[in-house]
Amino acid sequence: MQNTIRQFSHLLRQTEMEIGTRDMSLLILRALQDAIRVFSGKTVESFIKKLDCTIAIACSTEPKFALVIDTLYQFKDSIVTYIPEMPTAQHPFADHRHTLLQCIDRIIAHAEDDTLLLLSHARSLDMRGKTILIHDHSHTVQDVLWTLRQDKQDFTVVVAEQDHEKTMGNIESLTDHGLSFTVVPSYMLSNVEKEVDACFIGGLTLKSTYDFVVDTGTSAIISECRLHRIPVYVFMTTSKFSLWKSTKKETVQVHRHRRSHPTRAITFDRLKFSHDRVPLSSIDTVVTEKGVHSAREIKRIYTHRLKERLQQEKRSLLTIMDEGGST
Amino acid sequence: METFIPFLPVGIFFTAIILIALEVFEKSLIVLLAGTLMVILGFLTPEEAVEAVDFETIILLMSMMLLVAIARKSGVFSWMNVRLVALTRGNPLFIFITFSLLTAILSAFLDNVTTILVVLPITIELFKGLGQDPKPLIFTEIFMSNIGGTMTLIGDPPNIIIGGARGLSFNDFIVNLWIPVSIGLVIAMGIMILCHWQSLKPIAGDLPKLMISTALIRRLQYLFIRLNLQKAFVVKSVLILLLTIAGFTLQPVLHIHPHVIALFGASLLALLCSKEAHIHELLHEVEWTTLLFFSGLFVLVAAVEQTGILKQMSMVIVNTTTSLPFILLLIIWISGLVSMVFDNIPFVTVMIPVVSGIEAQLAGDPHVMLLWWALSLGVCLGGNGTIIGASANVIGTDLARREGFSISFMEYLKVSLPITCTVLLIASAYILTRVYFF
Repeated sequence: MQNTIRQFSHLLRQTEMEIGTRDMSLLILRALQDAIRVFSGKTVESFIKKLDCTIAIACSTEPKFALVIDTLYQFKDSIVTYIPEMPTAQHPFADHRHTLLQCIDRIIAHAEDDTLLLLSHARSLDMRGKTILIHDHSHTVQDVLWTLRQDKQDFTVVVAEQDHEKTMGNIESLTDHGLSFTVVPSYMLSNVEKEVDACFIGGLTLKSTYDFVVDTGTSAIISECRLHRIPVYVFMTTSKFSLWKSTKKETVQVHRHRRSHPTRAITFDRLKFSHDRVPLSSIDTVVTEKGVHSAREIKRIYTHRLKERLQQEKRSLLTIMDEGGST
Repeated sequence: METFIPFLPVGIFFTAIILIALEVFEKSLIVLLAGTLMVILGFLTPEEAVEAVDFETIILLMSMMLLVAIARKSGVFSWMNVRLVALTRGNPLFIFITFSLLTAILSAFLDNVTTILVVLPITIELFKGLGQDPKPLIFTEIFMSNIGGTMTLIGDPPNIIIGGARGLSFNDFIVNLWIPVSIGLVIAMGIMILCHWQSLKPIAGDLPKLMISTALIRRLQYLFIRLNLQKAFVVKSVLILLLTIAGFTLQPVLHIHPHVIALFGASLLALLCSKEAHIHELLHEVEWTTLLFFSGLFVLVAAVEQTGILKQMSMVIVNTTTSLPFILLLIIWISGLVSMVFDNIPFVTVMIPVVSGIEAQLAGDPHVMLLWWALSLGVCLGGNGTIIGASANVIGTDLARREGFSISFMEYLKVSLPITCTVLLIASAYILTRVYFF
C-alpha cells in the first residue's frame, strides 16, 4: 500500500507540473476508464471496494490533490446513482462496465460544464483598456483571458517570468489565442507595477486554513500587488478545494539540487519549492463556477462543501470496514 | 633481428588491442596511430593501406547511421513507442514482451545502440512509474538487441564486416540465421519472464495499480502529443527506411550492393527532409569516430595479414583437426568467449582471414559456408556475456545508471552469463543440425 501511495504521489506531482491540475484530473479520469476496460473483478461491488482503496490512496498522496480526490468521490457517488439497487444486490461487473464508463464520461462533461460556468461568470469582469499581470501556468487563467477577448474586451497582458517551461507554456497559449503580451522577469516587476491594473491567479487548491496553494513566486507578486493596491483575482472551480483539515506546511515539496559554479571549483546546494501559499484574505475576488465571490463568501462555500465531503468519507469508510470484516 | 620483424606488426596489433581494452584513450585514435605506424615502419605501403580499408563496409555503416538519425529526428520511434505502450493496456507482462520483441525487431534493422536509446528510456519510465524494478527489463532489452541484431547484415557491425568480406547478401543472413536467433530470443525472454514472474504477473484485478499504470500511459501519450509531430516528415522517413530495407531484400534481383542501396536511401531521405533536418546537424549524428576505428582496424589487420601469421593460424587449425563440426564449435565458442570480454570488431576483423584460410583448406565440403554463420553467431551473441561485451550493454547500463538504477559488472554477469551460454548452446545445436541433417 505504501509503495502504491508513493508511486501515485510521484505520478501526480510530475503530471501536475507538466500539464496543470485541471488537465491532470481529466487524465486520471481517462486512465480510470482505461483501467475499467480491463478490470477483471467479478462484481460491481468488488469494484467499488477497490475504488474505495483507490480513493484512500488518493487521499494519502503527498501532496494531496483535491481535484483528483473530488472526481473519484464524484465517480463513486454516480455509480450508486446510476446502478439500481446499489449496494444491496450483487451486480456482474461485465454487465455494468459500459455504465461505469458512461459515469466517467458524465463527470468529465460536468467538469467541463463547471469550467464553462466559471468562464461565464468571469465575463462580468470589465478589463477594457487594462493591463493584466499573469504569472502561474494556469489553463483556467488562459481560458479566462481568451473568453474576455472573445467578448471584445481590449487589454494587454504582462507575463511575469518563472520556470522556463511554464513561462513558455504561457507564451504558447497566449500566442495561439492571438493575445498581445510582454514578458518581464518576476524580480523586475517593480519597474512595471504602475502599469498593471489587475493580477490574475489560478490556484492549485484552497486549504482548510484558507490559504490558496499557488505556483512558486506568486506569493511575492501578490504582496507587491497589495502594496500598490492592484486588485488580485483568483480563478478556481470549487472542486479544487482541499476538503480536509490541513496543516500550513503540507503541499509544498522541497527539491534540493547540488549545483556547481560554472567557472570556479565551488559546489553549493540550491533549494527549489514546488508551491507557495497565499492567504485568502490577500485576494480581492475569487471567481468560481458558482459566481464572483468575496473572501467571506468563499469561506461559506468551503464550509458547505467540507460537510458534504465528510459524509462521503463516512460512507467510504464503512465500505472499507465491511471489506475488512468479510475478509 | 630479422626473425623478429614479422612479429612486430603482431606486437603493434596486440598493444593496440590492450590499449583499447584498457579504455584509457579513444579507440579510434589508437588504431589510427597503430595503422600509420605500420605504414611508417614499412609493413604496408600507403597505397596498400588505402586498399585495405573496406569502403563498402564504411559506406554501409555511415549510410545506416544517417538514415536512422533522420528517422529518429522525425519522431517516428517515439510515436511507435507510445502506440505500442497504449496497446499493452498497462499490463506489466505485455509491456515486458512488447518492448523486448520491439527491441529485437528494431535491432535487426537499426544499430543496437540506437535501438537501446530508442526503447530503453520509455520502459525505464514505465516500470519505475509502476513501482517495479526495471532492471530485469533493462537486461532483457540489452540481450534482445544483441540477439536480434545477429539476424541481418545491417543488425550488428560484425555482420557488416563478415558480409562485406565474404560477399554475403542481406537475405543470406536472414535465411541462415533466423532459426537460431528466433529460438534464442524466445528462450532468453522466457527465462527472464520465469525468473521475474512475481513482478510481471497480471494486475487486472488490482484497480489502484491498474489505474496508476494506465495513467502513466496516458501521461506519456499526452507528453508525446506536445512534441508536435510533423506527419510529412514521419511518412518520408518511414517510407525511405522501408524502401531501403526492401532494397536489401531484393538485392539478388537488383544486383546492387547493400552499401549503394543504403547510401542512396540516406541521400534521398536527407534531400527530401532537408527542410526539417539540416544536413550539417545530421552529420553530427554520424559516429565518425566509429568509422575511423573501422578504417584503422582494416589497415592494422592487413599489416598483420601480410606477415602470413593469420594464414598459418588457419593451417594450424585445419591440421589439428579436419572435423568440420569441431571447427565450427571451436569458432562459435572462442568467438563467443572472446566477444564477452573484448571488442568484437577487432576480433572479427582478425578472424576473417583465418576463416577464409580454413574455408580454402576445406573447399569441397558442402557445409563450409557454415564457418561464416558460426563466426557471426559467436561474435554477435557472445557480446551479451559481460557489461563491456557490446556497445549496447555499455549504453544500456549507462542509461539505467542515469535513471538511478546502477548495475555492477557482477550483477550483470550473474544474469547474462547463463543466458549467453544458453543462447550459444542453441547456436551450436543449430549449426550441428545443419551439418548432420541438411
